[in-house]
Amino acid sequence: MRTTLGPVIAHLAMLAAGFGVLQLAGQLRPLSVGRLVFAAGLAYMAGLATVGTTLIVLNVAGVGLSLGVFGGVCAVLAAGMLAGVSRRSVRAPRVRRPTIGDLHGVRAESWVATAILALLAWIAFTGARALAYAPLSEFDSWLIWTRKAVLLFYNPHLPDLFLQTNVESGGHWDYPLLYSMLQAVQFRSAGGIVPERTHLVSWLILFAFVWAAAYLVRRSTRPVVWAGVLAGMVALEVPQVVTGLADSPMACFLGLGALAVGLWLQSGRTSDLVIGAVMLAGAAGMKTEGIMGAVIVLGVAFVIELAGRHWRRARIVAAAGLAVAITAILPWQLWVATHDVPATTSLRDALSPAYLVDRIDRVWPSVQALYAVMADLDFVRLVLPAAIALAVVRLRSMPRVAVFYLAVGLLYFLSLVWAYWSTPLDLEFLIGTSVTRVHVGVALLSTAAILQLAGEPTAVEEPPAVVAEDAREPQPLPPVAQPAA
Amino acid sequence: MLTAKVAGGWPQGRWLPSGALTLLVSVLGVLAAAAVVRGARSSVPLAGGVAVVITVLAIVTFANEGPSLARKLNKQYATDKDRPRAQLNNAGGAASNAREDFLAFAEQRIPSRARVWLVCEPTCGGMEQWVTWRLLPRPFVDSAEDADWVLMYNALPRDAGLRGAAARTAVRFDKRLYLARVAG
Repeated sequence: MRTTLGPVIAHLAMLAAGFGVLQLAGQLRPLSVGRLVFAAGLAYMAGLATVGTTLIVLNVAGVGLSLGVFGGVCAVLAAGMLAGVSRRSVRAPRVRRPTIGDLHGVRAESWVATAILALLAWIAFTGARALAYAPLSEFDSWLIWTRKAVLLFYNPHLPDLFLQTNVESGGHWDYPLLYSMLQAVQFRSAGGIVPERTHLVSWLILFAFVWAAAYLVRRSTRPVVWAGVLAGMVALEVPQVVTGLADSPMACFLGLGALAVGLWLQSGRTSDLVIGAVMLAGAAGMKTEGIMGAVIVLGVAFVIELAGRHWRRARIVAAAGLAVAITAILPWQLWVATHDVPATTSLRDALSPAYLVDRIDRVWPSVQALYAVMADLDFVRLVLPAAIALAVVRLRSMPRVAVFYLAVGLLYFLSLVWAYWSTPLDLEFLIGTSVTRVHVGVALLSTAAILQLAGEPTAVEEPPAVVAEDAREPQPLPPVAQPAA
Repeated sequence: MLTAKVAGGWPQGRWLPSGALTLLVSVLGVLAAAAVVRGARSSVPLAGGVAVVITVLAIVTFANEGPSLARKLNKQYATDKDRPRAQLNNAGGAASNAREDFLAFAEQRIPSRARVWLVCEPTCGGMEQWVTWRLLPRPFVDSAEDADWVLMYNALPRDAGLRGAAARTAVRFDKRLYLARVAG
């Protein structure tokens, strides 16, 4: 009983924590039952990112993982949501009773979107049921990610004895800990190790991504567009998700982070930037590519604001970047340094011109391999040209957002090449074992670009409180052209 | 397939332009299709046309893949749900024909906090990854001096430096599969 109920309660606790984060960020204003339901995917993602990141920070500070600590973190974060829900307007929403006559006003595209969502829900259910029994056979999943989760089930911290020996070096102890931490929470709440159920973490993250992305673009993009694009993404990325590896969860956080920051560039809603930072913290906690992705997304947004001489907004995005670095990147790097964990790729080497020049022969095969794989994959073949085409045609009507996605996509691809260039691992082995899965970051960044760029280019409607807050912005946004392009 | 492409040594500088050309043609194809949509309905902006094209393609893809995906997941559930837990847990080692019976034997005897030295002859050839996972949370060490137990996987006691009385304490499980307590 506990094996099933425990993890359900743990995931619900993270959902509640996420609602608290959304409420604090201003994403739930005005609070209503309908909004809570629609925001549940984003809340779950925010809960995973903030609870997991907090647990890692506490772990680095010496507070070991336990169910008590986990519950305390969730309760603190959820407190904001509970305070909001207790208001009468939320408990007793004024909802008009629907009538048969209402159906005549529903357009065909709404029916299509509804049918897509129904099939998606069916796939989500059947997948969760199947993956609860799927063997954990993917090499890196048990070698790297679930290995740490098992150790965090038995110990409050990763034991020192594992960190420096040659025989255990395959565990890559320097890799970010968030994915393993979430699996460890699942094990602890289940009261035992059920390796096959770790698949459920990445499965839930995939569908939470869909739900969250739909929520973020609900004001600007037509339902049939977001439902169709996200459903196509699910159909083609599932083989990647069921491996139990961290690439897909990282890409989900990165895609949502880019989408939220892109929305902030478009609308200036501070709450979007806050959520973007939370999602990018999640990406940075998942994988090293997530760290690079977070730096690129926030760095590009910073440069765009600087180029537009929007000094206040540049300061805000710099502060968001600093917050991500302080909470999600530096603590873990500090832990790695203080425990003398050998780095898989030394940052000093990766930034050393002499080292890089010495290995320049790795660049071209890396570019070829990465691009060849992406060009061979159905989903990338579908979304990459569409994202580029949309960005090009939006250069006039949404110039900042179009440039943002083009720059982020290109830099992220180059960062992958840089990773292959600078790592000491054998290139052919690395390409053969990893290049087919690292594409997913590019794929979900392209998805985020399509979801936003396919929407209305005008600034989104704001709740009064947030509009008033952002009206203090001294530097106006560039004029938005009519959607004639 | 990919490795073959790279290892095959494609002429430098020749492939990427063709790949980039493919991408360019794809982008132009999307734009052309969007222009057709716009031509059919002039109120639709070009960006809206691109949105229509990608949405239609995505929905067609989903309609093709979605139902079969759901069926496949249902079939996978029906196959896996009755498999024994041990079979599920040991799937990762099945690819390398790991001796699960020996690992289960070792798991029963080595205390969960004991340090273990793994010896394979001539090398473990990657088996150390599975063995160290399978016997978690026991920490594995790099030498006999640091170990409480020695696990000999495709090795003999003498390969682990165990001789005389020490070698006689090693328990033989099967051919070249031994377990010995060396400390405590």
